[in-house]
Amino acid sequence: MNTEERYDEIFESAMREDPGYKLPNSFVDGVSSRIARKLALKIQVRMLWRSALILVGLTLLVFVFNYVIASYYPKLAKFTISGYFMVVVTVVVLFILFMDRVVLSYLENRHGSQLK
Amino acid sequence: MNDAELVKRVLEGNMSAFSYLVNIHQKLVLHIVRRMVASEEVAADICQDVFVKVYQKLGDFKGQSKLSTWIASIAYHTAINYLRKKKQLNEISVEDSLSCAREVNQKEVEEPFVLEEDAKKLLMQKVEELPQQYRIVLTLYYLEEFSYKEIEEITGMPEGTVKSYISRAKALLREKLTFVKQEIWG
Repeated sequence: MNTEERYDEIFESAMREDPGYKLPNSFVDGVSSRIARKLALKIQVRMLWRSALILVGLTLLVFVFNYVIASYYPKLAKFTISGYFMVVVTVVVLFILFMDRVVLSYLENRHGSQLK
Repeated sequence: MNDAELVKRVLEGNMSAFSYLVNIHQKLVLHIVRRMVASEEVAADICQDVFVKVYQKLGDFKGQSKLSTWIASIAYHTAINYLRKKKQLNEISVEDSLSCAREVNQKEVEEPFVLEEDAKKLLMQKVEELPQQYRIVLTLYYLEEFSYKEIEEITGMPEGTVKSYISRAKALLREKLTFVKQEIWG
């Protein structure tokens, strides 16, 4: 056997040899928990969107209600809520929900995946 | 269980089927990622990411290729994206590799390789010094036994490029081995 053929043989057998890389024993569990966290985050984002839609809807209702009262029943004006106050409340509530459900879940997701 | 059946079960929400999928493909993913990323911890993290992507995108798998080819492609692209992000990807310069190949072809190795086991160990070590794309085609072709066509599907490199990367890598390794042999045995 000449050198060329011998090199080819050694090369092929070296390349086909298992390099012996190892993954941690908890690898499969890590993948499952990462998927679970991702799904949870997705659900939280979806819930945040729903909450945002409800709050924006309520704010619009308050504006419409205020307009109707001001136009047709001015005597009942003392029972209305300020539309601007409602906007502020909506923004604050949405900010809290966003921080709590999305940002915290995201950070937990990132740190959790680094720790696993 | 064949690929289609396994995919169907995972899509139905069967997590045991997904664990089985991870178990049978984790070595393939690890070999691809680890050949490109040196750190064991980072590689394990990327491998987890690969399987999360597999789970999320499994609905897009239409069975046009083997499941292993599809998973290998996700692993390759995830690792490449990581290296690009970290600016650690050694893109192969065509000029460099051509000149290396030319130099190697000019050299005639006269002496036979004396110690086969040592030569093998050295080869395995020297593979790590090659550019990532050479390492990956060698791994996919020899270790995972994918065909040229499948490697093209996985990496997006044309079949001709894959063939030339393999032969250049082989020549470069031969040169490295010869150099080390001369250093050790004179």
